[in-house]
Amino acid sequence: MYWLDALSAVLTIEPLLAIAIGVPIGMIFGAIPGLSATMAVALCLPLTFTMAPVTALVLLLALYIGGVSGGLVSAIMIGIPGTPSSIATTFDGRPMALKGEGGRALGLAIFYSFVGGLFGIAVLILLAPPLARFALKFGTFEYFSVSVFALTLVAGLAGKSLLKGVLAALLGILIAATGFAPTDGIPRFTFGNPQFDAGYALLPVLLGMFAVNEILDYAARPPESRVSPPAEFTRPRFPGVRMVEFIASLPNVVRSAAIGIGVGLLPGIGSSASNLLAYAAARSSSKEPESFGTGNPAGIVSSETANNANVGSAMVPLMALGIPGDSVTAMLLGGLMIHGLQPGPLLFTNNGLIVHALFVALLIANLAMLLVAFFGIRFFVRILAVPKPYLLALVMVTCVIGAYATGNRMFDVYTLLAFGGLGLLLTRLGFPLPPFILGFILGPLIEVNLRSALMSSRGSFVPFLERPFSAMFLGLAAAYIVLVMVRKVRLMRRAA
Amino acid sequence: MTDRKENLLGGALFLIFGLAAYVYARSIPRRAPVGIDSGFLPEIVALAIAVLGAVLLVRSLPRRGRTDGDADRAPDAGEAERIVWLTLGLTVAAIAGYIVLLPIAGFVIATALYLFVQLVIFASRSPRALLYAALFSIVTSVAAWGLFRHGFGLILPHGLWG
Repeated sequence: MYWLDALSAVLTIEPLLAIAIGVPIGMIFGAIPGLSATMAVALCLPLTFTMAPVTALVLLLALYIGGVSGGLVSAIMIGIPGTPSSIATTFDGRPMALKGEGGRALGLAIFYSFVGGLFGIAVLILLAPPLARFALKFGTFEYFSVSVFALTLVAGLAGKSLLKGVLAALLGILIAATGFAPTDGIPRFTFGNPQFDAGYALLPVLLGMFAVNEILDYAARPPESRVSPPAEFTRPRFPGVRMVEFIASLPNVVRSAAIGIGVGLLPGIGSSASNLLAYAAARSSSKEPESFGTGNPAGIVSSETANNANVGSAMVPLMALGIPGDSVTAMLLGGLMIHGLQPGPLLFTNNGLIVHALFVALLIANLAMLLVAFFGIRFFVRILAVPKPYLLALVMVTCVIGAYATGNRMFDVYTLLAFGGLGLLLTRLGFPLPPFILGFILGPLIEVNLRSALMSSRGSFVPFLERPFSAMFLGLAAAYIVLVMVRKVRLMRRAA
Repeated sequence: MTDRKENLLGGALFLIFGLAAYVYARSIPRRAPVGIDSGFLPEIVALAIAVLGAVLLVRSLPRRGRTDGDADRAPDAGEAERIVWLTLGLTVAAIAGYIVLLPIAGFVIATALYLFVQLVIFASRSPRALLYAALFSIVTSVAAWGLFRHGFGLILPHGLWG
């Protein structure tokens, strides 16, 4: 019923224009090392304030797809992944480009990004609605437990150390507690200053952590580590692969898409891991594993299929449960909330049309990515030559505009700079940022659900363990922590 | 910075921050007849930060039988690179100056000045580069005002001159 209405809602000038603008802008952000899909979505969020909800969300999704795909350009042309989701693309893409096969490498990467994207979107369309129906049975106990589970996974998987991940997540939770407390409105960490009463707005925190942090990090880096020479450009041929090659690559495609989807469904791992896992799987199942890393097209196929398959599947927990699994989906959560849409099971019941419009928009944006990438590839390669100081200075100005537009007050701009500094400090000390952001977003959810649950149970914690799904998620979180610790002890013993 | 030094400094900072936040959280008024009050979560989280910060700190202290050299030879010791404090300090000062100037001078003037100063800090300082930077700063700030203020309808700081 919704599909036809959704199609007619998206096939109008404004959403189509949003896709036509969002995909190339996302690709530019993805192509330039240091800029990312997360930053593209964060910087463009304020621009959507005055847009209609469908157009605004379509723009953000187009930026997301473009941002994840754009990383392949720099991975192949300069050997530096534009985004962490294209790390494995450099392993064979760069050697192919240096051998004069850059055009073929770009063509393969673009085509399999499209194919991977289709797999991910299919999973989103098939899995999110039943999961949302199931989650309708969740109460405050279950929401508390599922949030704790998601946060534990993110804390453990985002960095090298579980301890540092947990510390970053706790810091995010504590900082999110600033302002009036839920339920009784008691001020916390406000130091008597009314500016702190509403807490820190999400957007300046995100922009500070990811964009201002990047500018400060660039400034802190020695000049010699800021440049790398591009390979000679050769134009790819549409569609990038012949039918025989495509059929031969199908086992690799299906395996890599499955890995990308699996990784996307679980909170915390993200596309930066999916491409590496898919690459490793492709290499170990290849008859000639030694050719990987020297310019084997199968390496590009696995990496690019997996990272784009991740896009659709990462949106399943966001849309069905209201729980973002990584930084980009956290931004999308912000985008949905700004437009009065609360992600979670009720989104499907109350805003079914918008949900289906987003499904349609993702399919169109994925196709647009294929066309924009193929026919605009020369432009994206040229973008790599634009001096980074100009780009970063411009990003800073956009951040200030975005932060100020959040609430038309300078406090949000001060927040931006403060969190930029905090982001740099955490990064330089080896603390991962995704757990901090997830802690910042999930902290208030955890507290509200915990307080409501305890009010309904008259202060008893027992129902958290009595209710099957709540107990299951808490048990999984505990089991995960034990697993990581056991593995660590084993490694230490082996090293001793 | 090596892994051990990172952990030492990180652990110490989290320990101090956790303790300070815990002391503050203890002063949050309690008013919950049933369940937990508004001080519960900040208190627990601050305490956990202090304890885990201490664990990180203690784990990274040099131990007997292990030399500094061993500890410093972490697998990713080469990844962390030196920090150029001068450029970083100047960039922070430029951004801070920009933010201070915004409500006084307004978006266009503050942005043009910031862009120029930031480009001088980051890029080449030849007369030609300075000219490009100046042109880029003026054109960009005016274009950004036009695009965001009039194109997207966003409110931007207009300064004391209105």
